[in-house]
Amino acid sequence: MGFSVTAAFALMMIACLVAFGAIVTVLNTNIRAINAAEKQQTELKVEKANTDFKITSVNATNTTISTYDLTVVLYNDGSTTLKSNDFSVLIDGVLQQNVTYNVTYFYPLSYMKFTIDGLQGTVGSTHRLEVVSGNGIAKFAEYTVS
Amino acid sequence: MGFGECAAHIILFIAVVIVASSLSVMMATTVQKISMGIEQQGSNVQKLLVTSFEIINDPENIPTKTVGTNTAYVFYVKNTGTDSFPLENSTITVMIDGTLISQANVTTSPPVLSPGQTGEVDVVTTLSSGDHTIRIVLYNGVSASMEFSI
Repeated sequence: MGFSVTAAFALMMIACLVAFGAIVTVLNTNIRAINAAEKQQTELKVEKANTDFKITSVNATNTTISTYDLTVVLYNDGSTTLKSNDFSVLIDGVLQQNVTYNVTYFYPLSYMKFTIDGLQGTVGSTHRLEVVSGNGIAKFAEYTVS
Repeated sequence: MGFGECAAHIILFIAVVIVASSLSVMMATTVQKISMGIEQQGSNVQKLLVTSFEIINDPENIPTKTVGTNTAYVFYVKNTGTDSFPLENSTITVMIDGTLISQANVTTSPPVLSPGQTGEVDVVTTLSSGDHTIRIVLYNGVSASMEFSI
């Protein structure tokens, strides 16, 4: 009887240790992953809070009777470097796909220019421009085709 | 200690080892299931933390397009997080003024939205002139809303 109890206890003990080890490993991995994700989230919030830019000039030049080319200059007055490819440009509410940027990165205290060719609009027509950065900061402007 | 007593001890020992082994196997299976659950839950929380998006439409200029024979309002969704997320009518929920828009009246593109990318959500519905609110909820419960005017 004495050895049976010892053997059963030893088996159960080993099983408990293995189970505890497995749970601790999974918990450790998950806590690390969640911490990393939380850090990323905080970084995103800080980045967003430090992002600011303004539309410094908008030039809409008529090219044909019904089309025009648009040139917009932005100034980064925040402290975050933004990727030009992550910007979205909407004209009269419609997302523009063919936007050409003069730089890849939009650094703090620097200018970035983008152009869109062949937009629909006659001389004197007024349009609304919305520029959205990769982290969701939006700026609006209104311009008239000349 | 006779033969009978010795045999009884051996039988008892084997029985105890079998019971202890069975309990250990049951415990191992349960622990494995719990581990998988913890892992899944951790992954969900991780995705929830790194998923973020915005509806970036010009609130006073919601474009429309023809989808089949219907007119759809076009909403632009920008991934402002650090992880991609699926953008399909089966994985998102669209509500306008608190009313759920059925899956059949929602079309999306592209199917997966990468960080920084802008996708399109076309909603076939009839809206009166005036102010409205749209709310889009992703598969993991992360949502964004926007007030707009028609």
